Amino acid sequence: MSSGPSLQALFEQGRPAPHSLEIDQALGSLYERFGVGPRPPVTIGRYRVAGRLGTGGLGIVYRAFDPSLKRFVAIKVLKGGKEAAEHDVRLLHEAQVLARIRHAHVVEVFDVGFFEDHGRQRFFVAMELVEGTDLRRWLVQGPAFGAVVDAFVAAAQGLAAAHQAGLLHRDFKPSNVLMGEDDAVKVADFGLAAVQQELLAEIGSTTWSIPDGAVTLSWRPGGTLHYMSPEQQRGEPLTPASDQYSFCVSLYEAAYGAPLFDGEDRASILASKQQPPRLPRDDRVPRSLRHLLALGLQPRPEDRFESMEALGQALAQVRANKKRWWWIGAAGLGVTGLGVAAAALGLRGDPEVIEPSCPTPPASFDRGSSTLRRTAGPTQQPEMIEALDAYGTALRQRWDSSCTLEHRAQARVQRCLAQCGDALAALGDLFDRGARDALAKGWSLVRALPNVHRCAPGDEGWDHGFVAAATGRAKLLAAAGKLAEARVVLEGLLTDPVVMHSDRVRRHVEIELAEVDASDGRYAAAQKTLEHTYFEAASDGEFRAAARSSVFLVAHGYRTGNIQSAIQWSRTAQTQLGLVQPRDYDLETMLWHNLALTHMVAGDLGEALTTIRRAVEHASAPGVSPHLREAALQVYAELLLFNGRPAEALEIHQTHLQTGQARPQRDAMASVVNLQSLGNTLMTLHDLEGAWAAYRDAYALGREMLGSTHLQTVSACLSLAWTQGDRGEAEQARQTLEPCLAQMVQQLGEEHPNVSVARGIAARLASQRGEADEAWRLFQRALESLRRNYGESHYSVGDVLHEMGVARARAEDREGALRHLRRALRVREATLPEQHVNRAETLAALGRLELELDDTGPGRQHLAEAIEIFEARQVDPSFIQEHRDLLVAKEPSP
Amino acid sequence: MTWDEQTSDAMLLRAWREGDKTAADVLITRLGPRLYNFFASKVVDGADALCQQALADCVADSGPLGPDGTRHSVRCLMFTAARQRLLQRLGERGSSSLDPGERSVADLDPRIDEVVDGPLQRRRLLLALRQLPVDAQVALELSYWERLTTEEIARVIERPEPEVEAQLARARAQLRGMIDDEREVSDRTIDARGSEDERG
Repeated sequence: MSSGPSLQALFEQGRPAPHSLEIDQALGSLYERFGVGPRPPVTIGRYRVAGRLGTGGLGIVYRAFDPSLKRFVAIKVLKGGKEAAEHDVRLLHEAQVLARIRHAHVVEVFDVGFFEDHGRQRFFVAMELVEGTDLRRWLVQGPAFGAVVDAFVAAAQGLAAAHQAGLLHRDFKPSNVLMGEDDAVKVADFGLAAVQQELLAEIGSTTWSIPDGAVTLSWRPGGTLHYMSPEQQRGEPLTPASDQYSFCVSLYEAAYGAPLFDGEDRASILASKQQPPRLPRDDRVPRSLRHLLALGLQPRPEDRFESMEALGQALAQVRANKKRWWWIGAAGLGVTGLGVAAAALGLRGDPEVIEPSCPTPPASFDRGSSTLRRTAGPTQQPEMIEALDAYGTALRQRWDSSCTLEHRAQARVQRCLAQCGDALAALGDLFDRGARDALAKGWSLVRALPNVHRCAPGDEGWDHGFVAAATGRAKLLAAAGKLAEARVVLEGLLTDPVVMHSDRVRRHVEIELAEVDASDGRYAAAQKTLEHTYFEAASDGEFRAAARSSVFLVAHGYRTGNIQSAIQWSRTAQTQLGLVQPRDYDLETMLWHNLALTHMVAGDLGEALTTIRRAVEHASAPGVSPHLREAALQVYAELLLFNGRPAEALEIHQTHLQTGQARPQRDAMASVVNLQSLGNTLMTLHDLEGAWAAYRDAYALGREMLGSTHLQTVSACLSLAWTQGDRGEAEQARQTLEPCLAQMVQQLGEEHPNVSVARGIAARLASQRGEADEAWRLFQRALESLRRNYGESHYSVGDVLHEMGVARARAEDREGALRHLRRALRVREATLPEQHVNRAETLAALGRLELELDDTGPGRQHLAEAIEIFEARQVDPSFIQEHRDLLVAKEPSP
Repeated sequence: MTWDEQTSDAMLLRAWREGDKTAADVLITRLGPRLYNFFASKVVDGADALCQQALADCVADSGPLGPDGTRHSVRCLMFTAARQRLLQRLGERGSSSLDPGERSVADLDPRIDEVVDGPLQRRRLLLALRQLPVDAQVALELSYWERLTTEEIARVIERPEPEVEAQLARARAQLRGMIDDEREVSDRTIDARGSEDERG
C-alpha cells in the first residue's frame, strides 16, 4: 500500500478550477461563435484582452488594449499565483526593476503588477507589442549568415544595456528574442524566469526559500535547461557572464544549425557544460566566430568575456571580417583573410569596419550539402546531395559574377538569387527533418527549384526573375505539403512593389495562390480567385494568364467533382490556349490530362482514353517537363486498363515507364504508383505471380519511403492482400488486409468509394476463406455505398456485382450466383466498351455456371464470346486454355 | 421559454438545436468550463478552438438525449465529441499512428509539460496523468472530476463497459505507482520542469 494520500484526495486537490482568466476567454469565444449576446471583455488590470498571442514556458501571452493610453500591448500572465489575501509588495517592488530598461534592442516593459483572477492573485507584465516572429522561428527560415550575425549583435547590445542597468536576463534563448516585421530585434522577458520561480515556489512547498533581505533577482534558478550556464544549472549565484553563456549556446545553434547539447539528461548535459566546449570545424563558421564561441562557452564564468558589451563588439568584428574576407576573395586577391581572425578577439584592435563592395552571399546557398549527409536515409540520396550542391554552386557563381554589375542591377539579381537560396534552404530543411511528403517527391522537388538563369540582368528579366524564383519557392513548398509556408511566400509577394505595379505579374502570383488554396481544401476561395483572374486577363487580352486560369479551373472542377464545370472550362481553355504564342505545351498537357481524369470520374472511360491520348501527344512536344510526360503516360496506362486493354497498358509500363526497374531520379511516390498500376495490369491479364510481386514491391517501397499510413501505401497493401488471397494464402491475406483497411477508413471515412472497393476485397477474401455470411455482409455494404456515391450505372457497381456472383457460386448458391452475374453483366455492358476484359470475365463466369446447369443453353455462347475477348486482349494463354477445355468437355453429343 | 439553472442539460441542448440562443447561453456557461478544462490538460494551445468544434458537433448531432448517468447524457455526448476532436488534433501532430489506448499525451506532444501550473501536489498529478495512455487519462479525469458513470465513460472512449472497468483499475494502479515514484524525486526536479527546454 502506498503511504501517500488516496487518489480520491489527490484528484480532489487537483480538480481544475471552474473559473480562471483562460476559461473566461474561452467562454467568450464560445458565446461569440454560437451567436449568444456580447459579454464584457475579459480584463487584466485595466487592460482589455483582445486575443491570445501564444503559450510559452512562462505563461500565456495576450494581446490587449490599454484604454487609458489607447494602444495595444502584449501582456504576459505568468503561471502560478498567490492567495487573494496576500499582496506581495516586495515581489512587486522587485519586478518593477524590469521596467527600468529602455533600449532599442530590449522589449519595453510598461507595467507590472498583480491582478485578481477568480480569487487568486496573478502576476502580469504589460509590454511593448512586437508584431513579427521570434529568433528561433526566424532561424528556421534559413536567413543569410550576415543577417544572423547582425541579429545576434543587436541582441548582445540589448543584453549589455540591461547588465549596465544591473539586471540579468537569466533565461536567454532564441525564442526570447523577438524579430519585428520592421526588422527590429528585441530581447524579451528579462528576469521573468526568476519572478515565475518565486511565484511557483511560494505556492508549492518547494525547497526554495527566500533569504532575508534579498532584493535583487540575481541568484534564483529557473531558465531553460539547454541554454542554462553550468553555474545556473548547479543552482549557484548568477552573474552577467551567465547570460553570456546562454547567448553563446544560442549563437552556436544558429551558426552550426544544430544543438550544442543533445538529449534530456540533466546530469550528462551538465557534465558536457563543465568541459571546455567542442567546436567542430565547419566551412560555414568562420574561425573568428569559433574563437568567440570558445570563449563565451567557458565552464568558469570568470574565463568568459569581461562583459556582454565586449562580446557584442567581438561579434560585430566577426561580421566585419566576414564581409571583408568575402570582398577580398571576390576581388581576386586570393587572400583567405583568416589571419585577421585573432584580431577579432583582440577587441582593442582597429574598430574601423571596411565597407564591402558586394554583400556576402547568403548562407542558404550552402544548405544543400549540409543537410542530407547528416540524415541516414533512403536510397538515391547521394545523387540528391550532388544535385543540391550543384544548385548551390550555381547560385554562388551567379552571385559572384553579379558583383561587377552596377548597384541597382546587382541588387535585383541578388534579390532573385536570395529567393533561390531560400528555396534551397527550405528543401534542405525538409529533407533534413525527414519530412515524408518531401522525401516521397524528392526528385520532383529538386527539379522544382527555381531556375537560376532567370536571375539575369536582362532588359526586363530581373523583376520577373525575382517573382519567378519566389513563386518557384512557393510551389516547391506547396508540393512538399508545406501549404502555410507557401502561402506566406505568395502573400508576401502580393505586397511587393514589383508585383503590385504589374497586373500581369500580380495575376501570375494570384493563380499560384489559388492553387495553394485548392490544395488546402479552400475550394471556394480558389475558384473565386481563378474566375476573377480569368475574366480580368481575358478582357486585357492577356491570353496566357487567361489560359492558365481556365486550365486550373478544369483541374478544380475535377478535384471538386464538378464535371459540368470542368468540361465547360476545358472549352474556354482550348480557345485561350489557341491564342497563346508560342504554344505552351506544358499547359496543354495539363489541360488534357485533367480533362481525361474528369471523364474517368464521370465514368466515361472511352472519352477519358481518347482525351489522355491527346495529353500524351502534347507531352511529347520538345521542352515539356518530363514529370508531366510521365504522369500523362501513367494515366494513359491506367485508362487502357480501365478500358479492358491490359496488354497495351503493360506495354506502356514496360517500354515508356520502365516500371519495376530502378530508374535514377524517379520519385518514390511515382515508383509506388507505377508498381501498383503494373500490378493491376498483370492481375487483369491473369498473371497472378507477376501481379503479386509488383504489389509486394509497391508495398515495401511505400512503407519505406512514404510511410505505412500514406494512402498509396495502404492501396498497395490492399492489393497485395487481394493477390495473397488468390494465391491461397487466406490467413496471411487477412493479416495484411485488416490494419490497412482500418487505416483507410480512418483517413477517408466509411463512405468513401475507395473504402467500398477495399471492402469488396475484404469480402472476396472472406468468401475464399469460406466465411460466406461475412463476405455477403461486406459485399452488401460496399455495394450500397458505391450506389449512393455513383448511382447504379457506374462500372465499379458492376465490379462488386460480379464479385458477389462469384462468391455465391463458391458458396454453392447457383441461383444467387446467376442472378448477380446477370446483373453484373447488364451494368458492365452499359458502362464498359464492348471488348472490355471485365465484361469477358463476367461472361465467362456466367457461361461456366450456365453450362453446369444446362449444356445446351446460352452458356456455350457466353463462354465462346468471353474466349474471343480474352484472346483479343492477350490474357494469359493458360487461363484461356482452361476455358477452351471446358467448352470442349461440354460439347453436346451429336 | 425561460431556461434556468434547474433545467436539465438535455432540455437545454434540445432547445439549442432548435435555435434557442438563451438555452445555448445557459448551457455554455454550465458546461463550457468543464469542456475547456478537458482540453487544457491535454493540448498546449488551441483549446478554445477545440471547445468550439466539440460543442458544434454536439449541436449538429441529432442522436437521442437522456438523463445524466446514461449513455445518452449531454455530458457523455459532449466528452465523446471532445475526445474525437482531441484525437484528431493529436493525430495531426504525431508522426506515427495514434492509438489512444497506448500513446500518452506526453508522447504525442512533449511541449505539454510547459503548461503545468499550480501547487506542487496538483502539478505532480497532472504530469503523471499525461504519462498515461490518452484514453486512460480521459477515463480517470471523467470518473473523478466529472463523476461520469462507467456506462458513460464506455461510450466516450468507445470500449465495452467491462473493459472500461479493467482499464480504470489498471490506470489507477499505474498512476499510483508514478506518483509514488515521483515523490522520491526531489521537489527541485519537479519544480524545474515547469520551465524546461521547449524543444523537449
